[in-house]
Parts: sequence; structure tokens; C-alpha cells
Amino acid sequence: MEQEKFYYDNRIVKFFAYATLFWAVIGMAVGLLAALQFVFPSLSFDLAYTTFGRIRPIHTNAVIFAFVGNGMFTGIYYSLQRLCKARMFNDTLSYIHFWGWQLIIVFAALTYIFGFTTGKEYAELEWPIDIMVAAIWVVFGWNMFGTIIKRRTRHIYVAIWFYIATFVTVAVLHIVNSIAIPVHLLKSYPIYAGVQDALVQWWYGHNAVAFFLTTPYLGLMYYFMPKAANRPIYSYRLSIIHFWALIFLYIWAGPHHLLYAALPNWAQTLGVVFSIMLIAPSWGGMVNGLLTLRGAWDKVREDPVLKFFVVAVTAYGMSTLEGPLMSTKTVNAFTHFTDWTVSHAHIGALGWNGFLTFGMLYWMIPRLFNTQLYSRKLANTHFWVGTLGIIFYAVPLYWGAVVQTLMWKEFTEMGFLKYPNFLETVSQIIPMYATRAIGGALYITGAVIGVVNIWKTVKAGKFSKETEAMAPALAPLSSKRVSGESRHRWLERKPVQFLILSLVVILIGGLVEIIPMYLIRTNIPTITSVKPYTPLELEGRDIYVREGCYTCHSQMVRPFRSETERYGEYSKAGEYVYDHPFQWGSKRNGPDLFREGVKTGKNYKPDSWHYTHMMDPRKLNEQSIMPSYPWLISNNLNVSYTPKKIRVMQSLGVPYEDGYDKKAVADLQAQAVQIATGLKTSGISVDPDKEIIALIAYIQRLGTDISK
Amino acid sequence: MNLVKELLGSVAGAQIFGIISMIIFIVTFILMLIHTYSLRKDEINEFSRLPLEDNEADHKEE
Repeated sequence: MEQEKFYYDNRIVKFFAYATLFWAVIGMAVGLLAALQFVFPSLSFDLAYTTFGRIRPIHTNAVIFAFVGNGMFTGIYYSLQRLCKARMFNDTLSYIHFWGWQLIIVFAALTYIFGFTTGKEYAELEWPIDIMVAAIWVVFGWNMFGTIIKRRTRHIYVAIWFYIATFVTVAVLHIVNSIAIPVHLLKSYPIYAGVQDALVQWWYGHNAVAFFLTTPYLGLMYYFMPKAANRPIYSYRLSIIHFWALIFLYIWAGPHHLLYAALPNWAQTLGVVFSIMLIAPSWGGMVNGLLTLRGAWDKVREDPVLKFFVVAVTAYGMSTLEGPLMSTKTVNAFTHFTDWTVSHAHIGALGWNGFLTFGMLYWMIPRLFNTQLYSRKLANTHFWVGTLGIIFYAVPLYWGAVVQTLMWKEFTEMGFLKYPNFLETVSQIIPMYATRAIGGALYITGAVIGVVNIWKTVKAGKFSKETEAMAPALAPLSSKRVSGESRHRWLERKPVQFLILSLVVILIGGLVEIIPMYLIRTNIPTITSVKPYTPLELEGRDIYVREGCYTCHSQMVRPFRSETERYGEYSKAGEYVYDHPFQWGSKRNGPDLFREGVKTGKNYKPDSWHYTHMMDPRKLNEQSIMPSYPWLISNNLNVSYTPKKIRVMQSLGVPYEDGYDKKAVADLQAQAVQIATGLKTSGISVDPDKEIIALIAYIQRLGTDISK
Repeated sequence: MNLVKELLGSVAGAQIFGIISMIIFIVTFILMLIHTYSLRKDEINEFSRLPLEDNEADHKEE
């Protein structure tokens, strides 16, 4: 067979590798700032742009989509070409993908800083950027499939299956979860409300973890682990089972983020069962990765790359055991809304994604630059500092989570909550937050050492823009061979059919979960006293979303005595029917706010309290770690979009009367004057057209519908 | 769409979805297992060596 000569494009790999390192440092630095704000609330700087509610999405998005995203593309562009024995399909597409993705990241950071957010975790991007993401994702997929189709190998290696599943599933998740009706260029309302929105969001959120942070990195593991160990994967059969079982099971597990929430029981149970089943393929994958090193464990002592890989794969195993355990109702009742979740996520992000990325870069960069790694010693230092960082990050948070959740649930002998003041449970674990910040600082120090080491390596080496390779063209299969082959064998060389089958597999789970929520009315019992928000409350709610209040405050009272004693009546699905988007939250750094407005409730506070609290929380509670929001008091409320917002809400089925958009602003102003007058009697003089008035209106409305 | 709505809406309980999903999963899983173990050993070896054969001349080993 005649050999063909071709060249791998290394330049695109280098670009993505540099972007990975750049965004790693940025994303982690923002995370460190957020962590420090728990200990030193003054680090919010009393500025809108640097409050936790705005920088937390920047941190999560930067780490997930910028650091891990670019890391994934680095590995895919390197391995895909070599596994297909072909250059990338089209260089222009490669560079559109690269620059498009970086542009999206910059837009994301800017919009979050300025408070343009949809308020849905890990999907906070507003609609124009969502469209950009979809377009760039298609460019990536097109380029990938083009490369697979023109490959010179018969079999499509298992790593590429993981890349295909990543592409197709992320596309489906992103599109379904992002459907929204725009109000203006940077504001939209999701078409889903309340329980449906929550279910779609966590179907997305969970599978973003599965198909953005896990499957592509498993693909990288199946390529780079054998490369670094210089031996094939332990069991290729196991990798096939790992793949199909994982993508089939993952897609069902989303509802485990909503246990004990106002979600129908059958959906919760579905989430639990599939989460437990996920242990099997996840651990199959972990074992497969680790056993690849059988007979080569001595190399782990020497080679920093393998050290990073071993800890990465172990962290994968730990978090994929921990996740299913946290998905059982018993454990979830204990860990949900606490720092346990945060710690769990960081075992995955710092250990699995972070260490796999660094290991991969330490392996790849010297090869691309035709040199040795600048300093093995520095790489080992990075490894140890990073590992210590993970431990110092995770252990205090686990500890803090246990302490806090026990305090939330503790009753006195007389049957009262022992710690009725939420703040007491926060103050108790501040030392844990401080230690966590030290862990984060250690990890980022390691990352900076890594950047320096790689930079020195780059300086010392000579970059090969392209790598020459030889392989015979793919010959047409003889009819004899085709007739005797198995069906999967056929599938494994047909990328498009493979894509369709993967799509079917992931759609089954998604559809079974989501369609009934739409079609079966009994899933969300309506409550007649639940009415749409007034225009002022709606504007207040948009401020609540803008400031990212959901990053610290849940709006979901679970049906536990410890919660109903603390917050009031537990939440009902029917109470959220006009919530576009839902704001249930996933973490309580502060108390739940769902019954905040109930006058006879446990938490009711007068308007004047909210005013003073927003201006400076520490005036009321010295220990409070909440940021101050002075700009809400000086900013005028923008009512120019209020009529449009009402019309969009009407189009989504919110029953405002016909033509209400024309009356909305007058109603808004009347309600605002009423609140401002009330504040005046408490000695607070504030114009009715300030943002704070709208926010107070919204807070005082929360949870009140069923007690009318 | 209304037709579908009526059809699904008349299902007595949504529990059926849990049962359906379990059946689909078990069937798929068993088929996949059968397939995987029907692959020949030499095929498996050939596939698993793919990452190690990238036909590159200029890569330096450490």
C-alpha cells in the first residue's frame, strides 16, 4: 500500500494550550478572591462588579468553559489528528473555533461583571452569546467530523467516541436549556418556569458536568494515559462498556440536584436510581485508567506526568463515588445546600480536570517544542503544592459542611431550634473558610509554578509548527470482510451513524425525564391564590437575578422539621409557576429566602430593615459576611423595558390582563410610592424611583401567595 | 401535539416512565455486553494500540 505523507497541525494545539494556562490563572484567581470574601467581606470593595454574586459565575464559568474548555480542545486537537492519522479537516475552521471561543469567554466575563445574567447556574450567558456558543460549537463539530471522515485508520479509537458524545450532548443540552424570549439585547426570560425550569436547568447542569468536564477528559485519559505510560489501555473491552454505560446513565441523573424539592417524587427517584448505577461505569473507567500502569508503577515515582495522571484518575474515582452517595435522599438531606457540594465539585475540578490538564501539558509541550521539560523538579513541586492545595481546600469544607448542617438541624430539649439565627452557623465555620482559601492559594501557586516551567520549556525549545507523518490511505473494504463483521464493528468505522446512535442514547433519558413534566398537568398542581408578580416586584426580581443573590440564598424550603421551623411552610411546586427563571439556588451561604415576605413568618423583617441591611449588612449584624449593596440605593430603577417585560411574560403564559403593559409603569410607580412612604415613617428618606424599592417589593412578596 | 398530550396525560401514573427507562437500560446494556465480548482478541489488541502508533518521526522521548 502506498504511503501518504501528511502534516499534523501543532500550531492550533499550541494556541489552545496557551489559552488553557492563561484562563487557568485568571479563573483560579477569581475563585481565590471569592473564597477570601467569606473571611474578609470588605474584599467586595462595596462595588457591584466585585460582589460574590457577580464574580462567582465568572469563577465557575472561567474554570469550566475557559480553563477546562481550552484544555479539552488542546487535547482533542492533538490526539484526534494522531488517532485519525490525518491533519485537522480545515485550518480555517480550527482558528475560527479558537478565536471564537476566546471571544465568547471575554464577552462572558464582561457581561457577568456588568450584571447581565440569566440567573441559571453554569448557563448564565445571555442569548446573543448563547447563539455564539452554539455557532462556534458547530464549527468545532464540523471540523472534528471532517477529520474523522478523512482519517487513515479503519477503527475509530474509543477516545474519539468520547469526543463525539461530548459534541452531540453539549449541543443538545445547551440549546434546550438556553431557549429564552429576549426583552432586549442583554436581557431575556427563559421559556420554562419554576419546577420545569429547575428540571431543565439541572438536567443541563448535571450533564454539563458529565459531558463537558467528564466525557472529553475521559477521552483524553484514554489517549494520554497510554502515551505517558507507553503501554495500551488496560482493557479495551472495559473502555467500550465504560463508554456506552456512562453516556446512557449520566443523562438521567439530573434530578438528584433537586431532592426533597418541589419536584414530583417519580422524577426524584429516577435521578437517585440512575446516580447509584453510575458508580459502575465510572469506577470501571477509573480502574481501567489506573490498571494501565500495571507493571509501570515504578515510573510513577520518577515521572511527574504520571503522578498528575494518577491523582487525576483517583480524584475522578473519588468524586464519582461521592456524587452517587450524595444523590441518595438520606445523604442529600444532610449535604445539600452546604459546602459539601462545593468541596465535591472541587475534587472534580482541581483533581480530575486540573491535574489531568497539567499532566497532559507537561507531556505534550516538550514534544511540541522538541526539547526536554525545563525542570522536572519544578513539576514535582507543582504536583506536591497542588495536591496539598486540594487537601487544604476540601477537608476544611467537608468539616465545615458537617458542622453547619448539624447546627441547622439541632433542636433543644424543648423542641426549639438550638441555633435559630442562621448567621451563628456561618460564623462557626469561618476558620474553615479561611483554611479553604489557603488551600486555593496553594493550588494556584502550583499552577503559576507550572506556567513558569512550561514557559521556560517553550523558551528553551524549538517549536514544530507541523509534524510530518506517513500512513497508507484507507483502502475500501473488501465485500468479504464487510459481510463477516459484527454490527458494532461496522458502527465503529461510521462516525455519522455513531453520532446518531449516541444522540438517540442520550435523548432517551432526557425525553423520558422532561416530556412528562410538560404534558402531565398533575405534576404541578396549580394554586389559585398564586398570582403573577406586580411590575415593581418583577423589576425587583430582575435585580435579584442581576446581583446573583441565588449564589448564596436558596428559595426552596424542604419538607423537614428543621427547615419549616426555621423558614416556615415548605415550598409547593405550584408556587413557582410564574418564576422565569426559577431561583431555587444550590447553596446556602445565607438563609433561605422563600418565605421572607410572610408577615406572620419566622423571618419577616420590615422594609426599613431591608433598606439598612442592603446598605450595610454589618450595621445590623456585625458578623455578617454579606456584601453591601449601596448602589441599589443610588441607582434609579430603569422602567423603560417594563411594558416589554410584561408582554414577554404574557407570551410565556403569565396571565396579566390584556393591555396590562400600558398600565404597568403607573402601577409600578404607585406601589413604589407606597413603599417609600412607609420607609419615611421609619425615618428613612428615599426616592420611590430607586432600585432598592423594587428589590424590597420583591423580597416582601416572596412566599406570601399561599398565606393570602 | 395535542394528541400526544392527551395520550400521555391519560397515563394513570408517571411511574411507568421509571419502569420503561429501566427496561430500556437493561436491554441496551445486555446487548452491549454481548457485543463487547464477541469481539476477537486480535481486534481488541489492534484497537488498543492505536494511540501508540502515531507514525511520527520527530518526537523525542524523554
